[in-house]
Amino acid sequence: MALQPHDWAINLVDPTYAKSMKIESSNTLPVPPGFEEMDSNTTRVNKASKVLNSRNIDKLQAQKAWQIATQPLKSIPMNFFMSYMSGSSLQIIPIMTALMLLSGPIKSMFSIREAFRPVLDNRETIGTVRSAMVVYIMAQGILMYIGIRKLNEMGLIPNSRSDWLAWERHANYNENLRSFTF
Amino acid sequence: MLLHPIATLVFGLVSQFVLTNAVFSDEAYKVDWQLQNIGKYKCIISNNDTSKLIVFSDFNDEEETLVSYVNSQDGNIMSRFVLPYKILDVMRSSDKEAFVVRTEKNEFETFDLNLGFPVTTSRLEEVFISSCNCVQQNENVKIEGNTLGILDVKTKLPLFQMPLPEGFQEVVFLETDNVNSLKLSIALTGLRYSYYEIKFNISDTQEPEWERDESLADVVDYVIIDIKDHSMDEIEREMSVEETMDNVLDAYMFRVTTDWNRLRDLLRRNKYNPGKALMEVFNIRKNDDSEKIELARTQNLNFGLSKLLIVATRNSKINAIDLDNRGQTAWSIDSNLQDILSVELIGKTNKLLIISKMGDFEIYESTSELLSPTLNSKGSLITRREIAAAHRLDDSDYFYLEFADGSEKEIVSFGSVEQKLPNADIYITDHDEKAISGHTIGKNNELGEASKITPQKTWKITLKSNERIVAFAARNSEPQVGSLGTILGSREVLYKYFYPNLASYVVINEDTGDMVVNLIDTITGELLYTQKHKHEKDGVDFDLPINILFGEHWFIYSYFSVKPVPEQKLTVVELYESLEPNERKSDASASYNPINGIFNKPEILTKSYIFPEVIKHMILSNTKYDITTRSLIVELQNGQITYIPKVVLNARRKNESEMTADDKKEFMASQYIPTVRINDHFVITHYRDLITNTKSKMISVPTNLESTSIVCQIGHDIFCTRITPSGPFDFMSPSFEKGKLIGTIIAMVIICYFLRPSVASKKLKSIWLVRE
Repeated sequence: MALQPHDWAINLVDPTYAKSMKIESSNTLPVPPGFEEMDSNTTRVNKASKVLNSRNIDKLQAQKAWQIATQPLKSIPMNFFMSYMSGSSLQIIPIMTALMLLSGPIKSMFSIREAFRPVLDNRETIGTVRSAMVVYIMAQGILMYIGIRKLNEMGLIPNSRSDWLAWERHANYNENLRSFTF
Repeated sequence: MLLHPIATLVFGLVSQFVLTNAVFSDEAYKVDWQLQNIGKYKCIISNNDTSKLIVFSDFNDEEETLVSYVNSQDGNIMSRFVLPYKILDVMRSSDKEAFVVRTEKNEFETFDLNLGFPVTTSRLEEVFISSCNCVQQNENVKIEGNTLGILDVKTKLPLFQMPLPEGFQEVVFLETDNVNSLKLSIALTGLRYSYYEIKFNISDTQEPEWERDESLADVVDYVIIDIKDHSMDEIEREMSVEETMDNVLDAYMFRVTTDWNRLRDLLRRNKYNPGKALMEVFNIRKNDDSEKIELARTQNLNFGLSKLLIVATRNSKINAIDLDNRGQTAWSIDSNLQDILSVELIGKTNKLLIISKMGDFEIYESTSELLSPTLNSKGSLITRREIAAAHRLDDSDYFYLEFADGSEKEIVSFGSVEQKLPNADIYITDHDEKAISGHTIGKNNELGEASKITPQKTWKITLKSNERIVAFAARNSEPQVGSLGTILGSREVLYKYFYPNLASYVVINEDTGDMVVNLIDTITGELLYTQKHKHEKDGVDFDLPINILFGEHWFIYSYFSVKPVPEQKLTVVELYESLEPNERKSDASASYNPINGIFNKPEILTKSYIFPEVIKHMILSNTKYDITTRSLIVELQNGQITYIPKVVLNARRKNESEMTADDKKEFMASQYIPTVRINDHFVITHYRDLITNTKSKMISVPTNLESTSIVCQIGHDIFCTRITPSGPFDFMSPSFEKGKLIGTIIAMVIICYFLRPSVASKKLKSIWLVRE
């Protein structure tokens, strides 16, 4: 007599078995003792409150968007003060902070969708969010400007004549001429 | 009890600090040296116990007198001082406490015998009897032929006889008791002097106690020879072989095989001991002193500090002085020429050209710089006139001759020519006291039939009869330039004026007392800038030295004026393309022809400074690439030499109230303070007693180390030292603790080696959440 595999083993390898299994929905189960049956009226009330809520949510989301947009603005005074106080001497810490002021805003600009994700999927508020985004970018720009100014103050941006002096060539006054003075 | 360890710690730390030398004193009296000279002995007297000889010699073209106290035991100079008049005779006073000198005006001056201080006496109280003619006065001394004899006072029989050495000229000092002792100094040819102390019956040897060579007191010209470093010759030769090869692979194989052979030889030499081989490579095995000295010499050779100063003396001697070996004479030859005018090197070879005033010349050659050269060839110029000056035209072997009789100047060559004249239009400007004149020889740079070129005159500036040029300085026609402009605090650029054909000179008018400083273009003679010091306002003293020198884009002149306060003044004049920042007028791509005149005149800034000492002479420091801050090396009236960094003498310094925040940001910016102080650290002669005459010259010679320049004063004495105007930034200080550094690195490596397994196991345990 051939050895018959167990039923569970056959079912395990049969892909159709799981689909054919009858799943009893938890809705059909009786409510545990002490819990009330849900009233059919409540769903209607819910629908009404949903309309009301979505208006609220739009408002909230707009608020949230503006909050996100103005967050970098709040750090401007602090950064400005810090860059002012740390002077223009060439030291590693001020250079690092200035570079951070420069790189931070760039990173934030590229991840602007990430920053506004919580408020992005609402079609109603998209206009407000867009304008909030512009404000956000502007604020990041101001932060970047502080960083650039700081670097410039330290003389690290080659924007002056003296930075390119080494590449300037000598004028040849004495072509095919030699002079000797005794 | 607690105090004890703290005190130990404190004193330990203090002793650590004391051990490290000050920056400026560590090389003093180690690398600098001085050859003290006396000159031609005129008279010698001795003090009471003959421990000191007092030597009188003519100084400064016989206008002054040098009095030197010489230790009679070893011939070393103890002290010297200069009398500002010529003396005719000297007498030791009868009380043996003083000496009296008779001047040309037949006046008598008395000095303390032992110390040399002037003694004030109203008049001479005894009859003046010369103490100089010791032989003539002593009838018991006989010089016959080449023997010197001492006679017994009573019997007049010879008591002692000695043969005089070869080259004997005269007896300059003799003291004998006519019993058993003789102290004697004789002059030999070539300004050599020897001193004898002889006891008649004790010793028969008649060797001199000491000998002094005074020929170096009268140096007429000098030249510097680099001692070449031959350690890289083999590699250079191999590289030149590689360059001739067609195939890159062959060249590579050649390099690999030669390097491999060198490594094998190194290992074989060290008996295949890798440790010994490494030690040889890193020069660690130098333990005993001779090896250390040898190492120092090789290092100096590599750094270009080993040089020979070749000097020609008035008595036709050519001496090579080793700058690296405390002024030892490396070799000495006697030239056959009379009145040497100039010593030069031909091309870049070791050939030495010696020119006499009458146009005779000799060329000496040797295989190595340190070996005495031999006469290679000689000759003379066709025209026999006395040459006043021979100026070498750059690196070429052609000379521009000025003649004493003021006749037409000529360009000639002496014997062999290794370097030709540059193939360009040549303009020559020369000056004398009364005039400046321009010449040209065009492009025709070959010596013609007459083996000379006579330059054509182009322009001439003639002074009025009461005026004369007292100082003249020209810009180096091919200056090495570090930076085109000065960078301001606002990071803007002030462009320096780099027109090369410039000369500046100082003219004094002896009638009005005015002094004028002019800047001219040497091609056209055009006056570019002038600055006047009126007698009423400044009152320049013409009796004190007036100097001028031309640097990168500035010139500095020094003068002593009595108004408003009698002070030595230093005035700096800086030339800029424009005083407007960021404005450049010259164009790098354009080509200019200076014959048409200068298109951009310089714009000028000037400032004056007060210096606390009278400046006798000044030169500019030279370094290899001119990156090091230029300094003014200044010889003071009191015989000291010091240097002033050019940044101190800056025409752009302002009063503090006028300085903006940007001005203060400028590198090395400082407010204008009119007095320049002498920094004691910058006095490079230290405590030395340097005697210089009016003809003495200072030179600054670059070395292979950019920071270092060798400074020599060649005059009556020869003094050489090294200066580092921007600090010794390119060599490690001797106190650098390389042992500790290497020890720390090795310790770190060992620690890492032992820590690595334990760190790895710790990481593993933390991953597996195993508690220890």
